[in-house]
Amino acid sequence: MNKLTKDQIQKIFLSSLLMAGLIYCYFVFLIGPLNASQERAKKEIADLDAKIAASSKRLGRMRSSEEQARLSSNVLDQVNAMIPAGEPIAWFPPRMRAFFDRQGIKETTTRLDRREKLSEELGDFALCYWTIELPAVEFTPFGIALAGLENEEPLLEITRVAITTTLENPEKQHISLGATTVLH
Amino acid sequence: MPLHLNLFHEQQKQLAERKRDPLKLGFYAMGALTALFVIFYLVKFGTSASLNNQLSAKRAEFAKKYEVPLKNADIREKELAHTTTAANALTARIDGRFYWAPLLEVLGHTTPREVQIVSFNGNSEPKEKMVNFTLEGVAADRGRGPRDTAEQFRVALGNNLNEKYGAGAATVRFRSGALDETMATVTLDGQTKATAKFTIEIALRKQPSATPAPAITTTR
Repeated sequence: MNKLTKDQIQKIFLSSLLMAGLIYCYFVFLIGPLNASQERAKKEIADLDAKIAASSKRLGRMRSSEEQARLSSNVLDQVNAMIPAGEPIAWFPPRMRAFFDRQGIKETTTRLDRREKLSEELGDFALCYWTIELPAVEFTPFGIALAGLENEEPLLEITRVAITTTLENPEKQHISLGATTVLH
Repeated sequence: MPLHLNLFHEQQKQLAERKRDPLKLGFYAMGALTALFVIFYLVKFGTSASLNNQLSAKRAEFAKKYEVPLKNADIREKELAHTTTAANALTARIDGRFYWAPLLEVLGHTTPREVQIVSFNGNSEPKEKMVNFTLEGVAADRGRGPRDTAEQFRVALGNNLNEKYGAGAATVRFRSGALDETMATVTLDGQTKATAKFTIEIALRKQPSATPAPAITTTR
């Protein structure tokens, strides 16, 4: 085996140095940034996938909300259709008089007590408080009429019933009803 | 034996030394390594380019399919929520009404001939869970005194209301000190009977019903 000369040793050292420099530069300046860019892209893809999944879910929820809102909108349309146009004081008392007339109860008087906003979520609607007086009516026809009224007028709620019998005419009662209605 | 003399041994030695030159061998090795590195880099670059393409496609998909609809979704959701809440509140209000006709039907069925109701006062505030009403009346003697007639009426009314609205729904009691015998008498079936005045207070737990009860059919 020949011994390495000094010149050869120097050349081996120089070659090793160049090799190390090549490897270092390759990994630091070429492969490193490429790896970093790949990692970044993978992370962004994962983020976007999650974002797309969440967005898709949210849009799906929106679509079901749309369906729910369509049904709700139908309910609101039905309610709106039940409320005549114009000031309630102009149409509600005649409506009550006509209703009780149909039931054979005459001389009905209806007066508006007050009007107030219904609630925060029902900001478009108002609540009117009425007093309906039936001066002389028999108990059974009144009960039948009351059931009819509660059936026919879903927006009307009877809040107070006062029935008084007079000694002069025990067969007939004086009836005062407190009622609320939902209006625009 | 012939003598061989190598007159070129110097040149051959130099040639052999040039072949074993470490620097040259090092350059060969570096060349080979560089070629491998280039191939590896190209593969890596291809993968990276493919990932970047995927990323661009995803970004484009997100921008096209989701970004604009999501921006509008916030506004639309508020509108939808408003409509739904309003409809639910109205439906709850309509379904949660207290129907008086069935109550009067129970009262009509329960009141015997010997009891005359003089006044009925009832209140049902929409936000309250209870309906309170007061009955004032006159009870005639049925053989065990007018007080007993009034008591039987009170018990029957309580039973019938609890049957109609659920066990424990109604509390029926005489107002304190409001059951008094009177000097007045009534004539029933040709017989004169003693009477008692009473006031009954009733508290009834509301039970929202989906459909109103049918009209009352009793006669008094």
